[in-house]
Amino acid sequence: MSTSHQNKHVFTEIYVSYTDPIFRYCYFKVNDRELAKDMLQQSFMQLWSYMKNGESIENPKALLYRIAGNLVVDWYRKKKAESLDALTDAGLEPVSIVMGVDEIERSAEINNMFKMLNKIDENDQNYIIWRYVEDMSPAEIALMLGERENTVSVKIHRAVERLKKHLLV
Amino acid sequence: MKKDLIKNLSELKKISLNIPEKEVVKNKILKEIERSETSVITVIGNEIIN
Repeated sequence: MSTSHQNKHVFTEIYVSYTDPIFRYCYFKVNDRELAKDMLQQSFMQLWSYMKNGESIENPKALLYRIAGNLVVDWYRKKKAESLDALTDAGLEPVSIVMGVDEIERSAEINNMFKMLNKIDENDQNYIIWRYVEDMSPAEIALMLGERENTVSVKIHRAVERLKKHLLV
Repeated sequence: MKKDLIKNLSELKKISLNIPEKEVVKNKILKEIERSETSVITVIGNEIIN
């Protein structure tokens, strides 16, 4: 099997594993499903460029989050005049949530949680998404960010406390 | 309260792409990859010819 075919095989496996987490990450940040899909595509295209250039990728998940994070930052720079609050106040909702009819009642809570997440600091948002939406352990997050596990645990705890304060307001 | 909060947060996992959407994005990526590889081969081919 040629290197290119091997790369494509590995790439497809990475795609299957990380499509949803990276899509969600982008979606939570930009509140736009189509834009999040574009960012997902761009993230994987950049990952492919790294692979094609023979760069060693020890942690594809970490790299994908970093690429997606940079795409989000670039997007915000371009769109800085348009605040996120204005978007959510205008009634943008996390539509197209995949759910059954019996789960529709839960959708209000999901929407509320989504809005709350958008009100907290971006770093807090990241820690909460990774820990409680994506079920990553503090050790896994620490490894991804190159931080100490204890530091990550403290940051998660503080992020949750701040989110709770927003929920109480 | 923290337990409820964490439960609600985990509900956000339901925000995801459906299978056809995943396939569409994957195909777009693979098409782009093929396109970029073809253009590299074309450039090399033209260099050899010239």
